[in-house]
Amino acid sequence: MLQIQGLRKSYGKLVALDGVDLTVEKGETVVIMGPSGCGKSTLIRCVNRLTEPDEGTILLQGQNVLELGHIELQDLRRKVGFVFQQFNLISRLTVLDNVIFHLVLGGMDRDQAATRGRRVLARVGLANTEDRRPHELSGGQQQRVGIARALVTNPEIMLWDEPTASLDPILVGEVLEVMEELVKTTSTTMVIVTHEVSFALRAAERIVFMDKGQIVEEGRPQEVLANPQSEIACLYRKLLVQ
Amino acid sequence: MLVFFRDGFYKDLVLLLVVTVMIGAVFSQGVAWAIDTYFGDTLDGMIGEYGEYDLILHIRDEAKEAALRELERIGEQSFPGYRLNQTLTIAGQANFFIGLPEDYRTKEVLESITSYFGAVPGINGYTLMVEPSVLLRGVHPAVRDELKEQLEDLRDVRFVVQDGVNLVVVLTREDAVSGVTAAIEDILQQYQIVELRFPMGFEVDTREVGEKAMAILRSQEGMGGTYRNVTSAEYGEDLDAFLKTLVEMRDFLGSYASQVRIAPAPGVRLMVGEWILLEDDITVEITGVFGDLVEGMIVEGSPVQSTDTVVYQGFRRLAEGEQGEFVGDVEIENERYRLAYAVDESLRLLAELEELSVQASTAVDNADAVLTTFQEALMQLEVLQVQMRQLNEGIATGEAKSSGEQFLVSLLLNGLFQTLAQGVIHSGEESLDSLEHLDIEAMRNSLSGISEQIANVQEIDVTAIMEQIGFVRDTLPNLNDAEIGQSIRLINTYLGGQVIPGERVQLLLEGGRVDEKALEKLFQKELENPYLHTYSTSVGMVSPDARGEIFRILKEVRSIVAGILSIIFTVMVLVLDHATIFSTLKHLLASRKPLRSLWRRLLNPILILGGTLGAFLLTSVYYLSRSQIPYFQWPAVVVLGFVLGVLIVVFAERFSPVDSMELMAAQSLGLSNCEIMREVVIPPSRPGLMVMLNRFKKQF
Ligand SMILES: Nc1ncnc2c1ncn2[C@@H]1O[C@H](COP(=O)(O)OP(=O)(O)OP(=O)(O)O)[C@@H](O)[C@H]1O
Ligand SMILES: [Mg+2]
Repeated sequence: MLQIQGLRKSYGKLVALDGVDLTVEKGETVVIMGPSGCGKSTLIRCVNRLTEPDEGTILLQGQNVLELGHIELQDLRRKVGFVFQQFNLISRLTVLDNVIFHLVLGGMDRDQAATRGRRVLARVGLANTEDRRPHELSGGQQQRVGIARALVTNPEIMLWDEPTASLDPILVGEVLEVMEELVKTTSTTMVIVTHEVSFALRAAERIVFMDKGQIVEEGRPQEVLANPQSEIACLYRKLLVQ
Repeated sequence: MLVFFRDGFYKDLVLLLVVTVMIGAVFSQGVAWAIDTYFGDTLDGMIGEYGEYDLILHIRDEAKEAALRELERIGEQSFPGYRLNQTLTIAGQANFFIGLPEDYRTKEVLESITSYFGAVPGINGYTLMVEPSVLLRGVHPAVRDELKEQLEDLRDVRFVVQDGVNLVVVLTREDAVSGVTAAIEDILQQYQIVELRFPMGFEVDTREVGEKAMAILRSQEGMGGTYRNVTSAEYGEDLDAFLKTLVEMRDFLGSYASQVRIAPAPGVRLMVGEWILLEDDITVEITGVFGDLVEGMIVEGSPVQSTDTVVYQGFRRLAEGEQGEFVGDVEIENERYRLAYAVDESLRLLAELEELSVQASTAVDNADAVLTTFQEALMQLEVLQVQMRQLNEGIATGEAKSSGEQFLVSLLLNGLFQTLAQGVIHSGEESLDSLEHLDIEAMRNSLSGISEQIANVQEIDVTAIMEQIGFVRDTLPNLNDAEIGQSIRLINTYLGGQVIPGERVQLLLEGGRVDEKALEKLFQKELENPYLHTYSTSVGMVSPDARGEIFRILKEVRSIVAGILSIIFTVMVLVLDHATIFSTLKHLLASRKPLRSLWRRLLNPILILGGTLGAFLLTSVYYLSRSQIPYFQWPAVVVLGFVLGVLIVVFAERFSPVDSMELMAAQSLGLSNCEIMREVVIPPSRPGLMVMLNRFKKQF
């Protein structure tokens, strides 16, 4: 599904990605963990070129992402669902419009899109909020709108950039619940950046640990956390034990 | 970068630009037009419509009620059907506009305004504003009549009115103004006045110099035309009078200044304008160097007050105000102090005069008594003389033998005569003869004359005179040298910038043209005066009439207002609309590799795009709104527009920050740049034209 090779990216002198190789199989759920600033966001943003990498190749469903023209890139982005840490909703639009406006712009009939939008909203537990504005919702609800927006196109792959990191602990649960349900009920390929170790244990098929722009360890969650090799993995194991 | 526009947004941008330019032009011109109309109407209300009034009478404000009654009386009596309008009072002067009925708009009436209105209370002059007309200002008196005739022969000219040094050319129809103006310019072209000016102090015989100058001109080759000496005092004499007064004043002040003479020490050279430092903080400026004699005046400090000459040591003043080398002894004579001293003395005499006159009248009375006694004594003397002659004869014949007796008599005689008339008498006999010729009666008469004059003196109010003289005396020392010196310097500075027209000779050249500056050297040489200068003037100047002038200014104001509005409008449009586009563009391009070299950064396509847009917007709006700011020509407009555009690009995020989160979400959803602009970026940005136009484009 996704093959990344030799990916490098620096911001001036600061090296954010220092030769990353990563392969994700179709339908697989991969959790990426690592300390702040190690390059996780940079990595998954490179996948749909929200960030332009300096070097390397990214193959998504056999397409070389880095060589796409801008029309093809837009097509590709529509097939990739992206969930942001800060939700990144369009504040002037209602909840429903936030979820469906890209469908309508993409040419879908408005009613048809709305029906589909409502269905997705129900699925993330937001059946009665469609006419509200984002700022009228709690953080957890806003993130679920963000998830619905990514989900509404039936993407083949979903990229999650710390979806729960800006939520207070009480609201984290409702978002994780939705995520877990999605992982279990869909066949969508998931690449999730998160610090939620227990979620990784429950839902992920593979954990990838990153440090200083490189992948330092990866494997099945139970195995890696039971017998961590890298410093980073050890730290996350401690987190789990507590 | 072009990708950004390629997927459809360029259409929005082009539409935006077209609409912007149209609205900008309409807006700028509209406001300017409104101003124009407003002022135009106001002016019409004030000065009437074209041709409505023919003259303005200026009346002192306090007399305007009385003037109004009188004007109404004159109007009804002399100009039935007249129009009268009292408008603004400016600087204590009321202005009455008077329109004459068509039958009275004649040369005769207009040239005798003073005889009609001269007696109006408080009148302070008048201005002719007959329309349509062309005004010819400052017409040289030598050609006035000749010009008048030529002008009256022009087509569309009704008549020509002389108004002081101006000629008002009244036309038959309004649209002939420009044609007649051109024709008048042509006529004026035939004349040229070449003026030779001699500086102040050169008294020249203008007729003689004029003849010589014309001879010089005639002797020049290839110089056509005829010459006339038209030197006139009537022309521009005010300035002359003023400058002459200034010179008089300077000389007057100078005569009261202390006289400063410097004896330069051996080897010291002093120059006019240099400053010399003396003791007592006195500074002297050198005003003249005549060989060994150097003169100066005090510009700072005051010398010791003394009637005697005071001698100081003088030192050169260096640039920083410090004391330099010794330059020589400086003698200062305080003229004012001397004068004050003299006045003091005369005051004392005057005080004595009164006393003297009292004493004198007593003295005259006494003299009378003395004369009577004197006359009696004389008669006795005659008797004595006879007796003495007999005695002398007796002595000579030997009848009187005693030499002691003889000696005693001569001694007595000498003593007596000497007390009566000192130093006149040498020997008794001759002196007595001359005494006999004394006219005692005449002396008595003249004594009574003296007593009369003394009585006159006593009648004079000596006290009052003394008060006056005392007053003058007291003010004398108050004038201090430094003040006098500074005033003289000030006057000299002013005069320095002026060619003081001492004398001038004006030659009228008809049917030819000379380059007067090229002739200057020649005149200087031939007339043996290196200080004369030559000038060329016209015999008159066509100038717009008052109304034309006001409307011309109004039109200029209109263009300037439109120009300023175009600039403001462009800045607003750039800030409200284009800043949003540029900040988005900058944000989207930021994920690319940064440009390394400086010149690549300067040639940054966004900066160039911004500059071009700014230049395009400003230039188009400026052009379409028919703006015209003085000294602000096309290249400047384009450059200003470019600079504004570049500035907007540089500060785009400040003017219009983009929400990078929404932008990134939109990108991640696979929206095109055009869709991102229409749906995400523009709607929440600052309300402007772009937001308005975008209403019709956006779907959400
Ligand atoms: N646009 C940018 N410009 C400059 N530096 C950047 C930019 N984005 C990220 N970085 C830097 O690159 C490095 C990697 O950033 P990145 O956001 O990928 O880390 P992260 O692992 O996602 O951290 P976090 O857990 O805080 O989200 C960091 O040091 C960050 O400061
Ligand atoms: Mg991150």
